[in-house]
Order: sequence, then C-alpha cells, then structure tokens
Amino acid sequence: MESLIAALLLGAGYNSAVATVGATFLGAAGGVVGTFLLLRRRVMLADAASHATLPGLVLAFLAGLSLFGEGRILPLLLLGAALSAALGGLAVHAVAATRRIGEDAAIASVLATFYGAGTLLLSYVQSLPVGGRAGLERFLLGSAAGTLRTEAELVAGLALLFLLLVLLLTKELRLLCFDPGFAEAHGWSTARLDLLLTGLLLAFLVIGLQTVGSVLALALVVLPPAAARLWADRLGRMLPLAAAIGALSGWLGAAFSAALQRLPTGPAIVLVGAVLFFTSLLVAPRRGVVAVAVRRARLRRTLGRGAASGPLS
Amino acid sequence: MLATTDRPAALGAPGPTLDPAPPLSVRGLTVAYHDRLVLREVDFTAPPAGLVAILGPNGAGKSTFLKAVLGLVPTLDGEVRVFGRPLDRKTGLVAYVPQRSSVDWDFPVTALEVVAMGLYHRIGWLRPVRRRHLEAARAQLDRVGLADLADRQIGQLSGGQQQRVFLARALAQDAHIYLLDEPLAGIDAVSERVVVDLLRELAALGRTVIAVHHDLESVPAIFDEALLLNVRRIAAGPVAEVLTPANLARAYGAVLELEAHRSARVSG
Repeated sequence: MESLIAALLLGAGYNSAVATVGATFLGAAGGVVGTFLLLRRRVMLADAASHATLPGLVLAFLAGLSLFGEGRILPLLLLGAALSAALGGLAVHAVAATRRIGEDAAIASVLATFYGAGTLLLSYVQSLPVGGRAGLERFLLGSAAGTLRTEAELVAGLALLFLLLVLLLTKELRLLCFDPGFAEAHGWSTARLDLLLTGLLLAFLVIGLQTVGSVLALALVVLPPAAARLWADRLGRMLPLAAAIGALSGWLGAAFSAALQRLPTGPAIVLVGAVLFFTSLLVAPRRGVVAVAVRRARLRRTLGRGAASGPLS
Repeated sequence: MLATTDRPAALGAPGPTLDPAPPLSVRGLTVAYHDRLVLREVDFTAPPAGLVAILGPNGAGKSTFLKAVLGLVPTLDGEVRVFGRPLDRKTGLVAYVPQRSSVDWDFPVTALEVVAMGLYHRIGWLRPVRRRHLEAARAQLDRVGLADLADRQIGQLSGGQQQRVFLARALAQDAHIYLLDEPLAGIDAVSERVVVDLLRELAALGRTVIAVHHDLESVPAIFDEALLLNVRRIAAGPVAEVLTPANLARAYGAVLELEAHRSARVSG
C-alpha cells in the first residue's frame, strides 16, 4: 500500500516517476485522438492497425538479430511496427475500396490475417535459442517500469507533442467527422484528412507500444472517448474529458504496475480505463443506463398503468 | 501574381455586372454509379439571380446533379463552369447544403458550432475558431430565428430547426451560388416559411439559389425557374414553361400529371 501511494505521488524513484508521467501523457493523447476516431466511426480501424503492428514488430526483431546479432533495438522495432500497421491500414482501404464486401468485413479480414501472421512469427522466435526474446514479449503487454530512463523520457515527450498536434487540428477534424460532404464541397480534402487521422493513430500506436503494448494501446484509443461521450454533449467538453480519463487511466495503471512488481503495465492501464468506462455507462447523467431507466420509469408513471403496458422506448 | 489572375474576376463582388459569364453553366454532364447511368448529357445554365428548382422522380439524378457540379462524385463526361471558370471549391463562391439525413445528429456539437463551420474555409488551416467568428455565426443563427437555441446540442432540435441551422451555415459563408439538397423535405410549417423567405431574400439580393425539390404543387409559388430531370434533361427554364403536362409525362413516365404529383410527394 505504501509503495502504491509512493508510486502515485511519483516518489518511487526517478525511472518509475518518468514512466508514470509518460503513461499519463500517453493516456491523454490516446483519449484525444480516440475522440475523433470514435466520432468518425473508425475505431475498428484502430483495432486492425494495432493488431497489424505484430508481424512488423517480430520481423524487425528477426532483422535486428540477423544484422546486428541483437533483436531488441528500439528504433528498429518501432519502425517495423509502424510500417506493418501502415500496411494493415492500407490493406483495409484497398479491400474496402473494391466495394465487394463491407468495411467491417474488410477490417476483420485484415486484422485476422496480420495477427495470425504475427503469432506465427512469434512462435518461431520463441523456438530460437537466443536471449532477449523476453524483451519482445514486453512489447505485447507493455512495461512502463522496466523501460530505460531515456526511453521513458522519449515516450513522455512524444506523447505531449502528439497531444498538442491533435488539439491544433481540432477544427479540421471536427468538420471531417461531422459532415464530410460539406467539408469536401468547401475545398477540404476528406481523403487527406482521413489519411491524417490514420497517420495520427499509427503515430500513437507506435509511441504507446512500449508502455502499454501494441494491442492494448487500442484500449487507450477506445475507452476514454467512449466514457467521455457519455458525460459530454459537445466536442469542446468531450475532448478535455477524454484526455482526463485517459490520463487518469495511464497514471493509476502505471502506478499500480510500479507498486505491484508482477503486474504488467498495459493490462493495468486498460483495466483502470475499463472501470472508468463501465462506471460512466452506468451512472452518467442523461446518457447513462441508470438515468435512462429512471426517466423511463417516470414516463411510465405519468402515462399511467394502462397506457404504458405496451413497449416503450 | 498568377494565383490572383486565375481567380474569377467576380470573386470580390460577385455579380453579373462584373462578369458576363453565367454563375453556373453545365455542358454534357454525364455521371454513372458503377455501371448505371445516373445523369446523361445534361446541359444547364443558371440565371444570374433567382431561385431554381431541380425536379424529377426518384432516381432522376437530382442530388447527383448537385454533387457532380461540386465535384463530389466523379463524372464520366461534361464540363462545369462557375462564372466561366472551373470551380475552385476553396473560394467559398458556392455554398452547399447537404441533405439533412446525410449527417449524424447525435454528434456532440452545438447549433452555433455547426453554423461557424460555414466560416472554416475563411479561417483557414490550423487556426482556431475565435470569438468574432462565433459572433458572426450567431448573427446568422438569428436570421433563421434560432438565436435562443445556439448552445443546444443539435440532436435536440426539431427536423425543421436542424434544416434552418444548415441554412444558417450556408448564409455564414456569404456565397454567390447556393446549392441545397431537399431543404424543404419533412420540415414543419414555421421552418418552411423561414427557409423559403430567406431563399427568396437571397434571390432578391442577386444570388443564384438552386434547390432539389419534391413537391411539384408548391413550385410556382416559390421558384422562378426549374430544371426537370430524369437522367436526361427533360426541360429547363421559367417554371410555367417547364411544368407542362407533356414535360411532366416525359419526366415521370406514362402517368397522368395528377398522379405524378402524388407519387412525387409520397416518395419524398
């Protein structure tokens, strides 16, 4: 308990403090970019892209191993993950553009293909008689506490920079998400704006790779904005709220992970985010499940028993 | 500079006195969705000012005509000229009011913020929406009689009010040509009055307003001219010349004029 409080207050050593701050910024960044993905209904694309990092990650590990005799070279791994995720994103676009199957099916096919290939490669790496493959597994589950000081500082800085960039683009992304037809008719290229949004997503996944892991970085894009949407009815409030919920998830999750040594950072952060989301789903005013049930019951009472016996919605 | 000479001369103060080219001229416009022809060799020249109805049965290509003019759908053939030049959408010379059903009204945005979107192209990339922009947007919201609802989330407005918000967004743009997709479909009487009055006002101010419309009966009371479509152009010109029984029979098939009215309204 004492170690948890110390970790929360950033008093559990410099490395742990930087990692916690990094996870906090990362959560805020995920909440902000996720808000636009949620409103553009592209969350499933995030799903595909995050799973698509896996084969690139493992291939980069193998490339490092054969070229330099060392698999765990961070820049190489991040590059591999980014290229692979970009390839996954392009594959979704290409398959969906044929218009022979729906976008959801296109996303699911690409996700399954890339994740299957990634898992296959991973089992091959695990059969190799080399060290450092444990380091690779860390990229799947994430580890804030175990990262080097410079790596943690890099994550914190990049996440902050990323956050500012997305906020700068609020006007353009709002227009894209709300009314792409109007945007296109007035000279904004929706194709370019969508590409920009996808690029931001990929950048986020790569920045978050180390702290929360490739697949779970997705959760930071989904849970905070989904929770924020339940409380806020306008983007101007939803954005800071999503950032705050994401930041809170990152901070608490990283602190838990630092205090309880065996707990991997990614799942810890995601579970905090999940608790915040499901709590919001229940208790949020107006849009929450409880609020809707109360309004419904009140309506039933006003209408009287006879009138309300039919299905109400 | 080259860039400025490329722009239409009418950009600063659009009007027929400065530029003899018609605000909008369309030649041989042909559009297909996959392997189905939606528009075929349509010619149309818009009047320098006035209110034009685009009429025709379902699937006649009315919405597609607007989208093709704006370059939102790929064309197989044909030419679109705005004041004699290819359209540069960034100039804001043409305002577009999409169908109300084309957006998600549950979106977390207020009425005022939607209207302010009409100013985005003028604000430019990466620059924030400032207080003066919001004040300008509020003035337009006032014109459509919704200043009181400025801070409401748009999903809480009625269909007619939503349509007025869309119109206010177009007004904020201060364009010369207004293209509206079914601005009067499924809205209440008050909203219809507000929208029609404002469209008439724009026409009186020398603007060209082109609207897809479904209700043939109300056309003479609202519009000056009409373009009657059924994939091909059936007729175009002053309303009285377009809405003849012969033209209507050609547009709506072998049905009687009265039935054409009815089916057009029901399908709206």
